[in-house]
Amino acid sequence: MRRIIVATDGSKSADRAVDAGAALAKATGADLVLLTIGGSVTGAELRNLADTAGDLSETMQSAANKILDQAQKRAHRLGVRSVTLQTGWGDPGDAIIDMTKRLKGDLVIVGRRGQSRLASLFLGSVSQKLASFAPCAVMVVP
Amino acid sequence: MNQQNSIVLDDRQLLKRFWQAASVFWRHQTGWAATLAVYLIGVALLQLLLQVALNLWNRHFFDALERKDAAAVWLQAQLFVPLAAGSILLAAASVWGRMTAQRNWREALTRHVIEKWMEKDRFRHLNHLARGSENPEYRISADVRIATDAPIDLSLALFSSVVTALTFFGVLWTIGGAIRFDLFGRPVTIPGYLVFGVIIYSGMVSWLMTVFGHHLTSVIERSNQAEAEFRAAADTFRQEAAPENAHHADRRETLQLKLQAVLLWWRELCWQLVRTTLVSHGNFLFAPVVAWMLCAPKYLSGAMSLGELTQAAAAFVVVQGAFNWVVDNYQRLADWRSSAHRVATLLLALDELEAKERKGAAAP
Repeated sequence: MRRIIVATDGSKSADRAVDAGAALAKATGADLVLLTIGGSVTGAELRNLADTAGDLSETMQSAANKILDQAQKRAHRLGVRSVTLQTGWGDPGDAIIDMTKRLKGDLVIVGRRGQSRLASLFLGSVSQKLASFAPCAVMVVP
Repeated sequence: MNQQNSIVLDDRQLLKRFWQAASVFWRHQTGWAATLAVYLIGVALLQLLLQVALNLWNRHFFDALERKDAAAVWLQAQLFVPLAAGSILLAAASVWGRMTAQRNWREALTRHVIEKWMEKDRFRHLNHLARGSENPEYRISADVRIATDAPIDLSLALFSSVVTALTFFGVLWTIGGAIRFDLFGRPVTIPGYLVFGVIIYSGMVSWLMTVFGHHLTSVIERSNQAEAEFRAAADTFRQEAAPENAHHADRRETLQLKLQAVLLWWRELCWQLVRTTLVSHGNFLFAPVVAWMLCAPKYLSGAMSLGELTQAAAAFVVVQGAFNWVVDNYQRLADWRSSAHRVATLLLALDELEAKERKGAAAP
């Protein structure tokens, strides 16, 4: 196994996925890629940005960076020194699959439940989508 | 400080720079520009005259129907043909006048911007030098078009709305007359009550629209800006398309990020339009009914004929529509503002380059 990709959205479940990914990377010597899919902004946040001349791209980028930063610190604490950070945009399931193909990942790790519980009720969860369409092995952490 | 942000983007400064360049047509081709302006105002006034005539026709036609006067109905039917023909011809004449003015104005501004852009090969040095240099081709073609199209349509619509409202106030005042009723046992008379009715009703609709569409203009502007940034990101990606380019992955990510911003603003714009549609469609249904309801007491008491009722109701709707100028043109106003801003930013970037060239030439 050469490259492990952990997708995180900053939720507790994703944190457990980061822990599992870091432990596996340490044990196997594989590269660890921490990936977040940005772009979930509420209507209220958008209206606030529209009224205050805030920059949406910068807001999304900084939210994504914050999530990746926390995940990286977590991986470092678990003894993984070399971590690659990646950000994708759009539909989380599609973006993770696309990024896994581009990065040639051997394993994708995700939490069982992300932050968008309501959306997953209607659309099916990210982990379900990955299990069906990912080009490599998928590990879902409870 | 990042060079890309070297221009401070102040709203007033941008509009001032835009008008400075955009007024070229009105300053340099004074005779032709004045002729077009007079022609457009003349057509708008003639359209108003015909609107008044059609409003009167409405009254005579329904009065004839109420009297069951077949000869009068037939006469009115015949009268309608020249009125309708005049209205159709004026509408066509107005389109010709507006589009000719827009084409001439666009031509003058586009030539002005292109000249500045091409002079001393500035288009080569512009890229990445200053904010406003992104996607200049689009700014020169599409943004200049929108920025010169909208002011003509909007100012004509505003002029028509004002003169229409003033004229039909007269119709409402005379046809509606005064209404008398008892309030707590005391007789109350409201002169020209339909005028007050239309002002109160229009005020309520405008207030509702402000509440429901509070964020609409800013969301439209941000949506347009996001589209422009997305185009610029795609353009940069194409220019640096080689996968071996060190920035290739970054550019790809930026393109995805800008697309996400476009989609999010589009989603918010959708919700804003859903909210404002609740008011605008409600108004479309309620305005004529409110007018009939306001006239009904006088009609039922016999103080108003059926023709006068339909004339007053039609005048009420016309005035109410004129009052809604801002509401009806929210989207175009916002589109114009974003395009004018983008043209102004490009002009300011070119000004900056020009200033640098002068400094370079002056240096020993």
